[in-house]
Amino acid sequence: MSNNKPSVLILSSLLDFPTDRICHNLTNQGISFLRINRDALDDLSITVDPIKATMTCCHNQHSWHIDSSLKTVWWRQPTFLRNTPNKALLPEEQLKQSQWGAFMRGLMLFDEAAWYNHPAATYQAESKPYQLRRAAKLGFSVPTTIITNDRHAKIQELISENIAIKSIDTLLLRENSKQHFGYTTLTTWSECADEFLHLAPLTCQSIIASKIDLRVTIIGNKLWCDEINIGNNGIDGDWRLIKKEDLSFRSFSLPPTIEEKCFLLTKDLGLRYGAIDLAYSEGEFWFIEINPTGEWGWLDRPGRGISEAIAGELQCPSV
Amino acid sequence: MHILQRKAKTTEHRDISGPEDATYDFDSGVWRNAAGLVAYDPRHAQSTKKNDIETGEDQKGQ
Repeated sequence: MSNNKPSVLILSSLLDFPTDRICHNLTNQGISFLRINRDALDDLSITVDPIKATMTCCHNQHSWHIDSSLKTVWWRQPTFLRNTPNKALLPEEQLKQSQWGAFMRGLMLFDEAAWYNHPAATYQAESKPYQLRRAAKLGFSVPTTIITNDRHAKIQELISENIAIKSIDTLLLRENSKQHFGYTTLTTWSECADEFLHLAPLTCQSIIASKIDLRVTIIGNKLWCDEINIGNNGIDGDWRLIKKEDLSFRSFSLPPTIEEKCFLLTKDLGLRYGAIDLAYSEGEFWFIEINPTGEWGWLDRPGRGISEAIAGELQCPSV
Repeated sequence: MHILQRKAKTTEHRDISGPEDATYDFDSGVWRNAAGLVAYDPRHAQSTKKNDIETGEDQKGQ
């Protein structure tokens, strides 16, 4: 039986292929790691001492022992379950879901390791109203934003009749075999302010027209910026509604002042990794949102070096 | 119906399953198929699937 003492702990899920790239790079660099996938936990035999901060994980004939030599943790998990399942879970499914979810969060007990990102920081940073506030305080241009369930709110005066609307948090609704997903939508306040608005709060923002969507990826002290286009043109509304094969991505050089703000925001939110959405319009950079567990695999083209940099950061934290 | 519901995009829910032609190597933390690492397979190379069904993050753009 082989015994391993990893310096990197990866908390992911089975089909997170970009995490495979990180593991591949760690292996190439000779870094010992343990990857645990939240959707395959009962395949493992795990024992934790939360007082001593040790963990033993066994799989087949191999074991891994984690202790104070753990340097870093790569956290790729939901911090809480956002959406109510549309079918009742069997008691055993409820047991597994609730207890393993708490177990994964409980690995915060490895409090001497550097987390990418810490679950508590992730939880806070995922709050859209909070991140808008922090971004504005750090000097980002932020679209005028009002959150309301009041059909009599003075949105036309505060913003405009024409607005962009979005949910406060990811909107994913299950209805039998179908699912309904919320995207940023351009509409009018008149269309929103009806007798149903009081049921749930709505985020209303000023529209940024003729924009270029930018995705900034930060890991430690490294930053990549990509613009997202259809051909050579920007995209009105939510680019995620466009078919992936119609999108093009290419490097974009941010001004140093904007790069600095991105690093400052990431640090301000207690994060070491961040995926920041900006919009560039008429010479101005607008903060849209930051995602503490945002995807980066779709931007990791050959030679880009994102997965290599993440592996390098996990081996030797820069921040 | 609330405006967010009215404007939501409706699709068929699909369960996400693993790659059919690959096996998962737990020790190495990677999926492998006949061509090598699935993560570098062009069919999956830019996949964003972290199976984050609860947050819906990987449902965007579908």
